[in-house]
Amino acid sequence: MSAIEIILFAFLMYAMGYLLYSRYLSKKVFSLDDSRKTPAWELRDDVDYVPTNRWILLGHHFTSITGAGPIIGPAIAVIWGWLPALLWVVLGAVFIGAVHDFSALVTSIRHKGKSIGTILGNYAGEKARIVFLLLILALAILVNAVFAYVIALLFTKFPASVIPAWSIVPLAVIFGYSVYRFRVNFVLLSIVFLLLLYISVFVGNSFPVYPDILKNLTGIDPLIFWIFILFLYTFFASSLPVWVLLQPRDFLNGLQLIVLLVLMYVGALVADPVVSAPAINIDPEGAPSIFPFLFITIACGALSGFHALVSSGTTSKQLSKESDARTVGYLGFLGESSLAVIVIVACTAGLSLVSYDRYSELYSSWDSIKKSSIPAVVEGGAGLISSLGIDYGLSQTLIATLIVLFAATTMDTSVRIQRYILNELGHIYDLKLLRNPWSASLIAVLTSMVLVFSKEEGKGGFLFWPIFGAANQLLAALALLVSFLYLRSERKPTLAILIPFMLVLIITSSAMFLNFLNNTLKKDILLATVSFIILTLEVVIILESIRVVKNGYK
Amino acid sequence: MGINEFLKEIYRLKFGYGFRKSARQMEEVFLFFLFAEYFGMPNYFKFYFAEIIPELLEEFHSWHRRMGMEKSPLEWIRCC
Repeated sequence: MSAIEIILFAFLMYAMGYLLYSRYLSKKVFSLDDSRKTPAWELRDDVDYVPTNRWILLGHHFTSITGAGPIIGPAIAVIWGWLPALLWVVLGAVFIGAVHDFSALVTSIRHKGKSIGTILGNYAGEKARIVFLLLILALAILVNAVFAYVIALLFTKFPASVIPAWSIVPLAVIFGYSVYRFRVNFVLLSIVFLLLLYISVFVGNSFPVYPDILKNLTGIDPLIFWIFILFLYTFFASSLPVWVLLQPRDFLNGLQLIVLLVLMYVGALVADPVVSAPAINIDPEGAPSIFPFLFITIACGALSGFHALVSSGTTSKQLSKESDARTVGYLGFLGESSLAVIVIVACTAGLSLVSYDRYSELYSSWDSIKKSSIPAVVEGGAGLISSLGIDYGLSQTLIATLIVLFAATTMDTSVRIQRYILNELGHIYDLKLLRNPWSASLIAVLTSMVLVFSKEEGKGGFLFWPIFGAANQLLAALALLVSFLYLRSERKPTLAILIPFMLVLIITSSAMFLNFLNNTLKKDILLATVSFIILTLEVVIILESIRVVKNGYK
Repeated sequence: MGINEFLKEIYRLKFGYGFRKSARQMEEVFLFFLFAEYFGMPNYFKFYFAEIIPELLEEFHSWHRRMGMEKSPLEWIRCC
């Protein structure tokens, strides 16, 4: 098997999914009708509700949903071989993930552009809405714990990425200021800032910040040092107004994402490396069983509930025609999934460009991937990019930097999300402490910090990834439930939503149950507790769904 | 559409929310003064405002819709 064959397979499936399945969904299931006014037109206010060209909206939607998620999941999951990961990413995207995004978008459009949480509250009551909020809160806490570890790991393994990763901060601030302040050519401005960033990659490559230097300077373990600094940074960055740092940074990230995708895909097509990983490895040393853990390890890229928040939060208020939902919702997700595919190619085939047995070195056991799965993406991806004539070391720094940038922006956003939710809970339960933005931020940062430090002094941050995946998919299950309830109330065919919904519930509940059981046996109280919390939320969701469905039939 | 336009639009759409919102708030305050009589307050500047009312018809229409009134609430400005 070679990289090109994998890519061809994936894109063939995507094309069929988009041309055939999404057509079926839009015609037969949701009966999209362009003569129906979308909320963007009906409620047009040019603030929230803005009718937008579908390609612009696709660009906005795609860059909002794609980040470090589809890089980390597949990088771990290829330990079970390339085939299961590839099949889940591609088929999961076509039949579940993209369907979820699309249906959340359409359901929101049909409810005046309201968000999935609000629609859920309408259908299933206040309790379901609080579960929804708690799930998002859990997601945000878990994602920060994992991403802080991932960034710190990249900083210690690829010290050349430290300078470029931090230089984006002043660059983004100046970029954001220039956009609003000077009437300059936008493309030119973007190119100049991207070039400045790449120069910083070059500088970083020449002046790596070695972990030993840090250790001598501070006397602290470099990994812990970076995790601590990252949380400190996130605490302050998330308190700034969004337009100062987060937004321009997010925009530059969106451009980088395209650069990364193009470079890796072209590199893979030029080099066409052979796959050095086994197709299937049912029982890697120390790994949990492939079912259900593969399916929750890869959440983003195959199915991610977070997308429902974007689909129903902003995108649905800007969709100009109902039929555009197919392009924006369905195709947007396939775009994210294609990032997961190239990560699989990088880790299983790209690594063979480094050395033929590099895969078996890095993926020797479940324990080793904690430290080696992200470096595998960096090494494999750099292998692909270096076939375009770019220096291998420089390619490594570039990819490591980009992953850090995506992850750091997500940390910033998720602390903000935690703050909003804590504020809302503070209002619901009348707690002053949660209503204060500073204390809410502090609580948000501290909870993630406690999680990551309590596992082998930060080194076990990765152990939360599968739980994050499960929580993310549970959120997706809730969005699917909302779409199901809507379709049923309209007397439309529901199987296309119901089957993924049941599948997701089975996968996540069995995974969390097994995780809880294993960790209780191992006397790992923290992991057992976190799994138990997610499992409890899941049981509440199942019971609520049954109640709502039953009541509906009355 | 050129790439410049495309990127600019994405940026505006993604991040212009805060600006759009505060511009809208200022507009609302302005319209509030313009139609102050409707809220039972004397409008000393009616004479000066009268001149711009024709210019604001479209604006007025979207404003009363935003305020949750399908039809124009004022007798002397009929809905389109």
